[in-house]
Amino acid sequence: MMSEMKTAAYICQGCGLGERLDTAQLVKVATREGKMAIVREHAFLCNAEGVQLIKDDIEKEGVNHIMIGACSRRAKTEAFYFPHVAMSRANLREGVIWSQPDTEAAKEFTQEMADDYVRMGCAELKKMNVPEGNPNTAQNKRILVVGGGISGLTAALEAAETGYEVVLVEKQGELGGWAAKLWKRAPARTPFTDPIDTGIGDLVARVSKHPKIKVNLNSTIAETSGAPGKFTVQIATESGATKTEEVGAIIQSTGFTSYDINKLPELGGGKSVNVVDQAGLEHLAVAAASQGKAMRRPSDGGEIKSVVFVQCAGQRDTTGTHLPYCSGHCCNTSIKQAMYFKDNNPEIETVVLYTDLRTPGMGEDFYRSGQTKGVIFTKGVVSAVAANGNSCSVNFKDLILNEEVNINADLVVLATGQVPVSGVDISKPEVADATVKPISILNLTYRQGKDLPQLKDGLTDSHFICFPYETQRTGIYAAGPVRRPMDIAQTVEDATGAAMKAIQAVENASIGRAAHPRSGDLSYPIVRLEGCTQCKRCTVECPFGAIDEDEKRFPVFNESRCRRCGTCMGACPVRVISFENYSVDTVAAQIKSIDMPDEFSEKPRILVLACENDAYPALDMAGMQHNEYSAFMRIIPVRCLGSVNTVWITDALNGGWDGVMMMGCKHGDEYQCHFVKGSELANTRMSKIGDTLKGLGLETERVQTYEVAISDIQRVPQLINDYAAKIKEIGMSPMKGFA
Amino acid sequence: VQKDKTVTFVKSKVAKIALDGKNDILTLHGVDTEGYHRYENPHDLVVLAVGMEPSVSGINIPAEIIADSSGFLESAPSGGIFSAGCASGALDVNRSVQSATAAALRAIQVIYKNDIAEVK
Repeated sequence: MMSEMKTAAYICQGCGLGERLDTAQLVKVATREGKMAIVREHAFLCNAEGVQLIKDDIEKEGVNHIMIGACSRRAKTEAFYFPHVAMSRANLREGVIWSQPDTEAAKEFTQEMADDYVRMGCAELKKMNVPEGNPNTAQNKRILVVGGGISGLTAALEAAETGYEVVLVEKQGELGGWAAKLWKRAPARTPFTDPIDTGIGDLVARVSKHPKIKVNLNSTIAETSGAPGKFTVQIATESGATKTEEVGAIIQSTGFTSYDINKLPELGGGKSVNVVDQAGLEHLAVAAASQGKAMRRPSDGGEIKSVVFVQCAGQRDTTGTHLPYCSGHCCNTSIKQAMYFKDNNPEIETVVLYTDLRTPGMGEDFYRSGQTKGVIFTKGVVSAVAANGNSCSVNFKDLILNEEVNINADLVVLATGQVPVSGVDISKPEVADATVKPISILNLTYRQGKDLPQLKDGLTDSHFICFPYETQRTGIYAAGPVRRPMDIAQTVEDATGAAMKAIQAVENASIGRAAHPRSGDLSYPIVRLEGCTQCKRCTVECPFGAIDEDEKRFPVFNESRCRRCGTCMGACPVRVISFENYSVDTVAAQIKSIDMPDEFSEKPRILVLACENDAYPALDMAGMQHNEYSAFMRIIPVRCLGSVNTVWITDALNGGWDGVMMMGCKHGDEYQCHFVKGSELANTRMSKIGDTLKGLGLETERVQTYEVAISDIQRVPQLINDYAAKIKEIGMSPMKGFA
Repeated sequence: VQKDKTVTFVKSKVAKIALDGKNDILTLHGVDTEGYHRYENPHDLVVLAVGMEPSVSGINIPAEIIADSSGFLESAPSGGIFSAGCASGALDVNRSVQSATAAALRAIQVIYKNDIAEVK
């Protein structure tokens, strides 16, 4: 336990704070109301002298809790870095003087704001403890790679080359995956003109003989349990026997299957052997090359004089029948495959039928090379492919000439898409007597399901743009086409990045720190089980499946699976979950600390609970740009809206606050929540707060939830001002003076 | 966006943009290649979707680094210098994140291997 709390508050006069605010008054507030043991003012707190002042108090006076009244907690984090002490920050700069007009008329309101933020900072501080790190550290730093295709091989090799031991599991009898079935690949480096060797043989050889990589062929995962730094994995081998491996992190690189061409009978799929998918064409190319001959027509071995490539076959579908997305690689793949013919015999006619040809970056050079080699590109929509003896008849609408066209081809190649191999969709209930039982890949023993949660179309969840590797299971990273369709070049980059993330996960777990997005956070959820009513809300709602249940249905926290968002804390109806430096009490104490003006003052007080990932930075930036907003706001940053416990809302309303604004990230399919589900859960919880408001005889407008992005620098002040106007319209809360 | 009736997609290379100085109207001339229709469309604002160039001017790039035909950089064959993000290719945000995360690991590998060599 920590030694006795010794508090100190520091009020900065720099950056105009001294001119705009009565800092002597703030000192008085911190001393008399905040009850800080030491209170000091400084002209420029973040300079060397100011920082030394604080350091001296820590060393000589035994101060272990400090409140800094200066700039935003997001500013000057290096100057105000004091390990081993608890710290709160009153945002007087961005949150007060920069967001308020510098006029004589505004002075009173501005000072009231600052006074309240100092009260809140002191109140929060007294409820904080110094985070000491999760004591349940786990030291296993080996990495499990599931899948031995190009993504798995790359991830395994890159991790091993960084000094980490790797266990690789592949269900087939050999390594290489799809790449091993290709004749050649599209070029990845200059010059981007010709198909190149896949390089897979070399990659397989390097992995196979690497001293740090253990390869398991013909194997699957029978069970995965544990947490980052201490996963236990049962590997089922061909013989039926299982063996146990202990690992610290997992990379799931299970790749894709090709969309079934039998689902495309209108394009001749399954109707003629002369209609193949791109994988089928590779098969023909490899077989022909092995005999040193040209590819022959599958139906009769006849000569191939013309080939038609149909792009987007069963992809980019708007009817809901086929794949809705673009698989990204297929345009370059068709160009490459057309070159297989052209490079061998320029007389063979090759036509690529496309609606939109997508060859971003240097793929454009490859496309031009295809044109130079005589590949014909035609913008058209294919309506039907029919077998016609040993030939195929292709009907399409030429979009340039605006006319229906029919051509014959010896071979038709359908550019079908990638379907991710992502295991069981855990969002759907398990059907006991299903004819085809979905096969789980990881067989997790987690309470929330066997496999990685999926976002859409079977792709494992990740924020495609901002956090591409993150899944909803800490320490388990998805790499390659299992998480989004991609080509070989992108897969290699992706797998290397995933290896990096897995290494970060095992290193963080070994010292009891959080992983992304609160990387380095030493706080962790602490539960007071004596008070738990086994309602299971925390175990159900945790976006990361971090909490299991024991046989008595009490929650079991797996701290190293936890991302420290506090969604469990927000969910808990009996408030037994907390973090050392962030708890129901640290926020509730702030809500109760302010000086509440009476009902007739015409000074409403509006509580803003702002997500620290997007909304709070947006508010800070609004301040930096002097986008002014109502002085009636008192803003408290929260880790995620998911961490908002409804008791804070009822506390605020009972305490006479006139309104509550909650600002969190966008939720849904295009979510921007850093904790995936936090803002969505908060929204669901708050949709039920109407009853509470009715019970108190209050208007529903008194509690509002907003989706805010970090770029909403103009919009956020507007939202605040509109809301302040709304509150003025409905009037002051009748609850004042009762608390 | 395609469903939004106020947004129109035209397959065309714009031949010319003419500015009517009096009325501040920009007129786009070209041919809609889907069906070959000539057009002459007035607009108030024209946004040119220009491309990315690698930001390499004024930087002393080591000789062993290879640039492709557009000047984007490849990593050095000796294995000590890595290109990342939009220096390595015209990438979007997601690909830049992939590229940078991978480059970070490759750089860590160099240090790791040097450490091993020193121990030996």
